[in-house]
Parts: sequence; structure tokens; C-alpha cells
Amino acid sequence: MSRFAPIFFNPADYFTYVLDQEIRAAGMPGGYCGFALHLSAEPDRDRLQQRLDLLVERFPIASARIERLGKRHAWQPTGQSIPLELHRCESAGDDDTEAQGILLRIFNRPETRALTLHWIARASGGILLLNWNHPLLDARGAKILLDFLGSERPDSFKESASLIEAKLAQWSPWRKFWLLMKAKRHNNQANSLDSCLPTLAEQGPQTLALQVRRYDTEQSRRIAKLAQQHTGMAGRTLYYLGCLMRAMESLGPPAAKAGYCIPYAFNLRRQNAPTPVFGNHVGCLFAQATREKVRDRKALFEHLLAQHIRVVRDELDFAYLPLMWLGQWLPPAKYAKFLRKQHSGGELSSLWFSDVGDLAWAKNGFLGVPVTDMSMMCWMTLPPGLALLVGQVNGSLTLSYNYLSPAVDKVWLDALMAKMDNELLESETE
Amino acid sequence: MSAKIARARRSAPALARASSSFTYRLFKPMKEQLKAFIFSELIYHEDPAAFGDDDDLLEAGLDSMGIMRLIMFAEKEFGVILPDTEIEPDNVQSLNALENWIKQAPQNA
Repeated sequence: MSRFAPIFFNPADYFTYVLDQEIRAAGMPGGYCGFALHLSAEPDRDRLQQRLDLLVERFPIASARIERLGKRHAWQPTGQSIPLELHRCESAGDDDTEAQGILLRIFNRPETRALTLHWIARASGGILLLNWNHPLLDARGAKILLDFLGSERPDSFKESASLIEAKLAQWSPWRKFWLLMKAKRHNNQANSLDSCLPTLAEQGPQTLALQVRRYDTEQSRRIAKLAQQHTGMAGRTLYYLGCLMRAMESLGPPAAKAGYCIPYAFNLRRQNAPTPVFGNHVGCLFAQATREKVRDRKALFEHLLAQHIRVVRDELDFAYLPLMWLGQWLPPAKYAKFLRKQHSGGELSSLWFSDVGDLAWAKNGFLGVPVTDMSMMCWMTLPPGLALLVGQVNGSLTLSYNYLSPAVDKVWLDALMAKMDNELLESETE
Repeated sequence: MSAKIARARRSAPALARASSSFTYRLFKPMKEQLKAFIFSELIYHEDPAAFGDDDDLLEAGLDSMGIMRLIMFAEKEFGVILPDTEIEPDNVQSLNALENWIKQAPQNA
């Protein structure tokens, strides 16, 4: 097969494409995401550029554009190289603020390429920003891609086929239909509790802003311990989601309705698998609770845990896959309406959320340079206009609050972050 | 030789292999079945054969979703009920711990 043969979207790629189109229709650059790795020194830029060239050669999809082929969409490789873009902090003083300003300037500019890589040089070290269009790959894939770029053995990285399609192929048509019906019922149920939102705004020009909250290793350990106490083996994600709901509720959500609904993804890859690299291989779950439930901390975590276990036991996680398969055949606007709109006409998601977990780097870091920190970025639809991206590096938890300005009020967000601190660390709570 | 007998003779080795495979699966030790499921579906490991029965599955990458899927696999495969209230590190930390938990669990009538 030609290196430049088109690569058709898998169902999850199309899902993210639909949201990308919603974001663009609202006047924003699109469904772009970013990983910003803080490095203690400048990596060998020539070696990094060689790796980018190797990336395009080994994985032609890395440099591709979206094309419509018949009823389907596909990535059409272009063969164009991906240049490492260079930026520099000029100020002698606080270059943290300046570096973040550069990050946001890159992220807010209109972009036509699906993948770009940037080095933002600081007085000491700098930030490596990987910026990508979500239909191209998911967050786990972005980590694998960074591992490829920084690896001593890039030849060990291979691509493999869509995991969603592999899972769908395991099921008979009747099983797929049964799961589809389950997913539809589950979706209907989620849409019947109107979701609180962080803004009343639904339109108008927006820029993406970012506030990052970092916890030191001691605080991060405390949070992990509290998560274990409250949500047990269901993992820390539910703890973060519960704390966030409580933070919003105690502050008062700007668009106050009946409850909170936060979608979160689960990955179909095996843990630590170095493949697939490209494509989206994720399904979707919902954490949902009434405002009354949210006000009772103990009851909320019990509820979220029971909800999660029930969803997995009833296979409602996998049930979303045939739903995504069917969605591929819908035009973007119609599919987006199904995904976003509740029965009342309001937005389903109280905010967007992603937890990438603990990101480990090779002993010698990224191309021999230690990774000291990270932050994450993503555009989102309006509403909700707010996304919380969570990750951990070197035992230190980072919460990246991405929000649309002026839709989300910064004063409200600062207060939300303070409430979230209290909830996560269980300080000043009832 | 009739065509029917010829077909039977050609398919006999395949049948024997299938039967042997079924028998092997039927009598395959529990830990081997668990290990096969874990490393084919849940965790990537460069050398699953080298993973010991007391090695830490959580350190190896078994996460919350993986634990749930593992429990559902064990319940279906071994015909037991593993209560949600017993999902804790002591019961899922290693292949030995898992096997003990499953062997003590009530049968699913």
C-alpha cells in the first residue's frame, strides 16, 4: 500500500472531529490539544528535528490533512516535513508568565496543520509544546508520540490497527445491536438531569486562557491517599470529579440547574502499551450526580463509585462503541446535537475533563534532558467553556484549568480553584 | 477409500488439536488463565512469562478499569461472585492474591 494512501477515521476519530467542527463553527481554532513539557535544559534541536523527520517517514499520518472521501472522512498524508518551531522568552524577570503567554499565543492562533512541535526557550531550560488536532490522536497516543521523539530506540515503535474496530469485530451483529440499545437508554438517562454550567454565555468571540495549579509531592501523596479512602480501587479520577462537583456547588455554578454531568474517557489500549500511536482509541463514561447528592461529601463518593461499578458491570462503557460506530454515518451537526443536547435543550457536559494519570519518562528524561513539570491544554465547545486536564509527573499532581475568556469569569475560576484545593486536600470541608 | 472417510482422516488431526486445546483450557491452571487474560487484554508487558505470581499487578499497570474487567472475566470464567465490597488491593495485588480471593468466593448458582 502506498505510504500516501488515505487512512480512514475510526469511530472515535469521527467523534472528536464532530466536536472539532463545533468548536470551529463557534469561531475558535478547532479541537486542538497540547502537552507542554517543562525541560531543565534545551534538548539537541538537530536530533529532535531528525526525529520529527523520522516520525513523518515511519508514520505518514503525522503530516496529513483531513479529506472527505465519499461518506467518510480520512487523513490524507502529505509527506510534508514538520519543522520544530522556535520561540524565546525575552524578559530577564519572570519568564514563567512570559512562557505561558507564548504557549497561549501559539494555542490561540489559527492553525491548519494537524500536528506541530514548538520549543520555547527560557533563561534556564524551556518548554516543549506538542500541539495536535484531536481527531489525529488521543492523549495516550500523544504521550507515546513524545516517547518516540525522545527515545533512544525509535525503531521499536510500531503502529497497529484501530482498537475500537477490533473490539466491534469481536461482537456478533445481535450483540452490537443489544449494546447499542443499552447505550441509547443510558444516554437518554444522562440527558434527563439538566447539567449545571460554568457560564451562561453560549456565543461570542473567545480566547483560550489557562490557569495551572501544581501540588508538591507531599500534597500529591495526601490527595492520592484521600482518593484511595473515598473512591478506593475505582481510581483517583472519580475523586477528582467528585471534588470538582463539590467545588462548583459550594461556589454556586453560574448556570444553576439540576445536577452535574462530567464525561470522562477510558482507554482501550493495554496499560503501558506502546501502540497504537495514532488514532483515538477511547470510549466514554459519565459521572453524574444531583446537586443534593453533591452537597453530601460521603454520599457523593459512594454514589460515584457505585455508578462507575454499575456502568462497567452493565457493559455501558463498551456499549458506547457501537453507538460511536453508528454516529460515523451522521452529518457532524446532527451527531453533535445528539452528543451535546439534553432533552431541555441545554448542554450535557458541565465541563470537559481528562486524567492522563502518572506520566513516566525514561531514566534519562526526554532526549537526555530531565522532565521537570508539565501542563496540558485543550479547546472545548461553548458551553461549557471550561476543561480540567489532570496529570502527574515526578510525583507531583498538576491541574490545568483551560477556559474560554470572557465566557468564564476569571474571578469565579480563581475561587473555584481555591475550593477545589480544599476539597482535594480535605481541608475546611464539612 | 470413500471421500467421507478421507475427509474424516484429514480433519482428525485438526479435531484432535481442537479437542486438546479445549481440554487444556478446561484444565488450565487458574493463574495461567488469569495471566493470559491480564497480559492480552489489560497490561502490556515485554515478557509476560517472566511475571511472577507474587509480582505487583498494580505496579505493573493494572488500573481501576482493568480491575473491573478482570473481576468480570473471573466471575464468568470460574463461575463465582466477587462482591464489589471486597475490591481492595489485598485481593488484586498479585496473581496469588487473586487466585486466593477467587477460590474463597461463593459459587454463582
